[in-house]
Amino acid sequence: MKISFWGVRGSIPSPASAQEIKSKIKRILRGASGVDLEDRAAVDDFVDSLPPLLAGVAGGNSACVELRIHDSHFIFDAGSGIRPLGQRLMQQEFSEGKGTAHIFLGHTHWDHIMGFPFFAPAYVPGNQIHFYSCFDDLEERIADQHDPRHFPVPLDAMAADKHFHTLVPDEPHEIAGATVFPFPMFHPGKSFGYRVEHDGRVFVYASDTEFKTTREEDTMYLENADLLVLDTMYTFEEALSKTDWGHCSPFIGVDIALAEKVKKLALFHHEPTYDDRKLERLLEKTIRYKEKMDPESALEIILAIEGQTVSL
Amino acid sequence: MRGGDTVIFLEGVINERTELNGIFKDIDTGTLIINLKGVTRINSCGVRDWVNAAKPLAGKFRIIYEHCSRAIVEQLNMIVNFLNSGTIVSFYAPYYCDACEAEHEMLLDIAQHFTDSADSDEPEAPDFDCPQCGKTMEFNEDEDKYLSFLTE
Repeated sequence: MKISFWGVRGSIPSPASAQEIKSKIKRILRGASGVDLEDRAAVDDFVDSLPPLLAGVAGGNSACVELRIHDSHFIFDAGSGIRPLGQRLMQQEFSEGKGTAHIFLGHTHWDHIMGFPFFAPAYVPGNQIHFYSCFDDLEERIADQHDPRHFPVPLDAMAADKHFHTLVPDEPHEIAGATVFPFPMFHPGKSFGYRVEHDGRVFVYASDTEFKTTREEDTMYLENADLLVLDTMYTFEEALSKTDWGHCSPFIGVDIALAEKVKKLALFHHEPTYDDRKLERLLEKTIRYKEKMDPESALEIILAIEGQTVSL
Repeated sequence: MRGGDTVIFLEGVINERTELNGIFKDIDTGTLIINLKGVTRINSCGVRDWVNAAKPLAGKFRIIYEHCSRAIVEQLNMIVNFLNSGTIVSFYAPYYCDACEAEHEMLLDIAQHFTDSADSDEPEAPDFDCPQCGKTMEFNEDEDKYLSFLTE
């Protein structure tokens, strides 16, 4: 299994501002004091040694995560991040109309579907686009976005073959060689997470969710996940003041991950107002929290960063 | 009851499996004292459920948190305003006796032990003598970090 992050933000795409980029440049230059940067190789080495959020950005695209299982393409959510994913896929069989994509939607809030009109493979005849969700009106929900009042290209004009599948929550579904369990989560208007099992590996995508209750029956689908991508949008303190908003926090994520013996937790669906410095500090604080709660646990915590790939 | 005030003793682990909703039900008192000496562990799920259970109490009566255990202090230092529904009056801190090679948890009273550093950004832990040998003990935690909740 290979998981790639194409969009990690929640609510609305939020690219780094010029001010934020300038601030990073200043930090880098201060850190370069005394470093020999005379030749290109030295410059490359120095830049490669920088932390990911200093040399790059967490990313501004909204939710989209790709799971590759051999030649199968699973895509979780179609936020604005699906656009660059589509561009990458067009460098492969999708440009010839020979591609098949499986798109899983947890819910249809705007930030999770806004990228689909810009998904290039959907415009190529011959490509097969399979949509999966637990909503029996998914086609209508997607088509609404293409209403001419909102977008100039109707859904029907996207030439790829589109198939809409309604999944039953809490039931296993065999899809493209993997077993997929959709499970209900707490989010305004309802949302569903996905547990994907293949060849002894487990990937869980859980966004958007508040995990309002964290009893075992609410978290059991996360058990023994090799990678859990979890909506941890707000700091713990901010989440306390946003009860019922439908989003979780990193500390709660750690508690759940420890209880369910998750191996790796990816903090995801970043709040658009959190700049990269805040995300860095949030990650550090979350790791310290985990060390306090269970220093013996091997749970690894990462920040979902656009462009990052995790192999299981 | 303690002189007309209601005292609740909480013990054990407070986490996502703990039922907190019924704890404050039917309490009719001027001041509610919550003794946290026996809390051995509390995670963020427990903190969240605690904050939500305590919310309806705001304005109903005065809440005092006493004898906060080390587990509680750790969360106080991780989570801003964790117990801002009430007033913290005392907490436990670890001290180490070199002579006995033993650690002892000592009870610190905020009004008594931190009066001098009340307005300071760097409160200082008081000295304690070993309850076994009488020698002066060392504060056995990073003082700045362990006492940081006092400066919030």
